[in-house]
Amino acid sequence: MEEKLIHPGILSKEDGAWRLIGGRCKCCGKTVFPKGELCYGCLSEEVEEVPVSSHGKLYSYTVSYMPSGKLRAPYAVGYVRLDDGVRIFTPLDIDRKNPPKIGAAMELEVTELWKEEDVPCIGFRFKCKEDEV
Amino acid sequence: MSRVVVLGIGQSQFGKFKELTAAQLGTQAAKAAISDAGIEAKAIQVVYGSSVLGDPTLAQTIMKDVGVTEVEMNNVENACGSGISAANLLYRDIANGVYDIGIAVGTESMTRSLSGGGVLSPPDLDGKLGQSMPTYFALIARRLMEQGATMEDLAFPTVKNHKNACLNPYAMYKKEISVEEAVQSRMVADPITLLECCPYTDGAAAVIMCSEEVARRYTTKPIFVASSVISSGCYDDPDIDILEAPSIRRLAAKAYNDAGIGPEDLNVVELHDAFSPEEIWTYEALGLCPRGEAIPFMRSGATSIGGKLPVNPSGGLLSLGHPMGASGVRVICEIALHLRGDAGARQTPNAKVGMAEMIGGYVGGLAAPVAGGIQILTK
Repeated sequence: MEEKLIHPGILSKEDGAWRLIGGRCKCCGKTVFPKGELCYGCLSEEVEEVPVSSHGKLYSYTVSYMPSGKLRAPYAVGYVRLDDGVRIFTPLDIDRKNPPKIGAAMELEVTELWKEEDVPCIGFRFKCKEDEV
Repeated sequence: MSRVVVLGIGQSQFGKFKELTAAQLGTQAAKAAISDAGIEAKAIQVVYGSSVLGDPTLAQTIMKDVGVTEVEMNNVENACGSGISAANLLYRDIANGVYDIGIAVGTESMTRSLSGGGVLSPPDLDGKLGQSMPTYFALIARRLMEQGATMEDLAFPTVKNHKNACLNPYAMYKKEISVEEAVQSRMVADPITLLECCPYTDGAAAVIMCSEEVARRYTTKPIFVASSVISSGCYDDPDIDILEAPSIRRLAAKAYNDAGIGPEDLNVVELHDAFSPEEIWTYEALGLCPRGEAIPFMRSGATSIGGKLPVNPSGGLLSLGHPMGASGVRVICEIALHLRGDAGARQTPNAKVGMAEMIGGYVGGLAAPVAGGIQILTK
């Protein structure tokens, strides 16, 4: 079935498993998501694509009761601090009535976020780590 | 460098005026500022217009009906920092002797705009994933709660600013609200409620700046611009807590340094309070109180009218209203009013030094705000 990524270059499938793709500076080692045109630490243009961690801890979250772009309200978003130090803004799959605590263990889930003209658009979100639910 | 004087200030009524274009509102504000300055319109040598959602060549459209043509005119967009960016460019022209006198006029018709308050650029990944200004400040508010702020604390600025706006004849809302009403109003972006969000507002504001030499012809009590700074945000550093607000902290340090003062010298502040918890966040970022002490500082009444450092005596964006392109000019007008002693029932007693701050914009990868501006005024 036809599908596309919500944003170019952010995800890659290796051995059947999706990974988030960020950028790591070959000079200073700073890693960010998504990859930029240069290093946001030392401004080197020697930035390589690398998978970033699929696990992290919840840094902050909110539930928006206003729609935004292609997202229907209510939707949950937040920041997750990944285990490799990257802080990522991400949609969240959380129980709005019983939200996780700041610092809760989170893991990546790659899934369809919306459709554009019936074509599924694949993106990512973070959810509470299975063994901690 | 010439010293720069705020010679004239003016604004339109703030509210919902679907029958008026942004340019028509701008014309009202420009005329009010020209009248306030006591100059003839033809004295104006340079014009900066500002708007986020506006039509092209706004300054030219505004000034056509003020009677100013054939001078340098430029239009500025910098999200909610647009107006203070326009005022900064005017300041720079006067300070550097490029021109002797000019006007910055900011305006917005939010009710006529199709995109509302959305200021994230559509290709931004965070924006695609649901980041908006309400969610960004909600994520900050959640961190404030993690450090002990209660829902009632988060509501404090909007309750205070609604009370202040009752004393401002230009305000969109002149109605006090209780903490309970604020906390129990509809949730917009948890924990931020509807009454903790600024409304959609139409309105305009204008400021006339001139050299000290020109000012002597019109006033014996000049208000000076002691510093004027604009800066983009720094790169986001995941090791820095978002409550540290590094972009605002650096902006404020430069503004204080250029003016040769510190936060302890301020008598009155106007700042970007698009969301109630944001005001609490900004107290610390501007150094108005030590890190981690914003809640007791606010609860002591320090930032209320009659307190030791009133913040947003105008009613702020939360109750006066937030026409995005106008607010950065409007905060300068309010500070000038207090330094003159002309702020009426909301006057800060013996105000000698004041700060006008306005910030805006979000770009993934940068520490928001990405467009920040501060002017410090003295008399």
